[in-house]
Amino acid sequence: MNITDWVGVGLRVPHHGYFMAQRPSIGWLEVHSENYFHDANLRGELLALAEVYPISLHGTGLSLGSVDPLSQRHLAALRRLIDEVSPVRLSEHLSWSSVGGTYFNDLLPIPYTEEALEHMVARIDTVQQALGRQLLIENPSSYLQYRQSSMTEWDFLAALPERCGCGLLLDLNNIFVSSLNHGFAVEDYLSAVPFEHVGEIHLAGFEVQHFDDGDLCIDTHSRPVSDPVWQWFRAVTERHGKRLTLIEWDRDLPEPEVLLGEAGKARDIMTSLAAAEVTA
Amino acid sequence: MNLGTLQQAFGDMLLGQPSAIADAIFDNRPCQSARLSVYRNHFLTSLQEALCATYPQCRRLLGDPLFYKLTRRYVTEHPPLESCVVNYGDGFPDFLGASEELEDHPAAEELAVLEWLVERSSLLPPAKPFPFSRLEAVDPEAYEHLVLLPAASLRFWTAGYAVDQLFDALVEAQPIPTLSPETLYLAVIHREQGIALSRLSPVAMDLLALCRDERPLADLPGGLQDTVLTELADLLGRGLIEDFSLGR
Repeated sequence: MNITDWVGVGLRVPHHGYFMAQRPSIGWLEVHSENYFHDANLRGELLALAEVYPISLHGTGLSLGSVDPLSQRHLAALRRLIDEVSPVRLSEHLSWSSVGGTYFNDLLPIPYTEEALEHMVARIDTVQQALGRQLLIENPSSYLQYRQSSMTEWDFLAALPERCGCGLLLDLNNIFVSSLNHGFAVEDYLSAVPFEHVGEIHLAGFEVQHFDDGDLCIDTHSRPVSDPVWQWFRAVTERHGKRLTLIEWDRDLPEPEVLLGEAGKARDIMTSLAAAEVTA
Repeated sequence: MNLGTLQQAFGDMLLGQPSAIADAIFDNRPCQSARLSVYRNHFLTSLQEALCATYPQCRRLLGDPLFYKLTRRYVTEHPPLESCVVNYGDGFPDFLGASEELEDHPAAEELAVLEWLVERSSLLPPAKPFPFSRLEAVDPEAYEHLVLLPAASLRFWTAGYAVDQLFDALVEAQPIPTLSPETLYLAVIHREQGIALSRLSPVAMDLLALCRDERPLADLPGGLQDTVLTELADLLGRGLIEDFSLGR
């Protein structure tokens, strides 16, 4: 499917009806793959929407960073969904979710070590071979750093495409949240990212939680995109050109029009930069 | 700490067990104690939310304080063993049945069974209309060879309380009925109009068990008596059976 509008939104179940009935103008939709593995009715709705919109499959449960064996059941379910939906993008996370056969329903941080890098590279390679497709790997938001990490997250992330041929999904909100939580400069991160491998950008909102000894930024996907993240999006797009860009909103889901309004802001930034380029 | 040891320590922390993970993270940052708590809270609350979504009427019956206390314990004692959270919570009814706090709610376990089966049914496609016209072409002499196929979304079971009444009362925010132990047979099915819950007779239970096992009507104890035919017509009329084959 040919994409002419580079901006998409994350489709969540409560919005299925709206998108099926109203078919609003939006470039593409991204869904969480696992939501469609077992629910035949949701799957039917997704297949109907796939006739109208390009679909991207975004995974949260493959547990790529885990030392547990890859779940063949999960891979088989994902393969079936890919065959049915023919997604324009397929993505997963730089994280782990299970150990000893127990799943924690979260994207947990991995240490940035050579051991973990070799492990991630091998796992991504295995999955790409099994699915016959390239994976985009998304940078996480995080709240802690391991003592044993021997490299930065951005160096770790940058090493993946050259070692296993994956692409990158750059979540600018995650970078911003982690920069506040860990005290690094967003610019340092972005200047190390090999943008030629970035196939998609995520934008979302976050919340600040206050504690006795300071604040932590939590990647809740429950708010509009913050102003600093919009500024970083403009800077990245100006510097490296446009990428497929997604507005994510998972909690305290607003009316679809609000989500589409956020998508409109991203589109406006792309349009204004393109106009400026033509003028120059 | 290698990758596997670190992940095991992290997992132990999430499950509230003794863990060395704190030694593996930087401890000179603001909000030190909160940093691990963010992950533990997400683990607990996200799975409690999943249980709330599957068992909303149990939550109403027990009230939030008791429900959240029990779900928190369930999550740490029975964490997911697969990646898809939609399949999480199948052991919750048994867990409730073994909980000492539920003396005042003897039907809670049975209500949880009902809610689990309602959700399982809702994940499957709505039942298809039975092909009556195709059945008309079958010689009545061959009826005993019919193998009837229940709707894929049909779930039927034996309950020890009238939990269908309890379920309806909770859904409609009516006064909660006082229930005494009794044996009854229930069925839930996903129809185009939505989820339907109904009672079954003992004969209907036997018929559906036969259908589930893909055995011909000839295998019914006593054969095709009038009472069986009446029940069969009722099951067909209620859309619980969606197809047939002639299994000679």
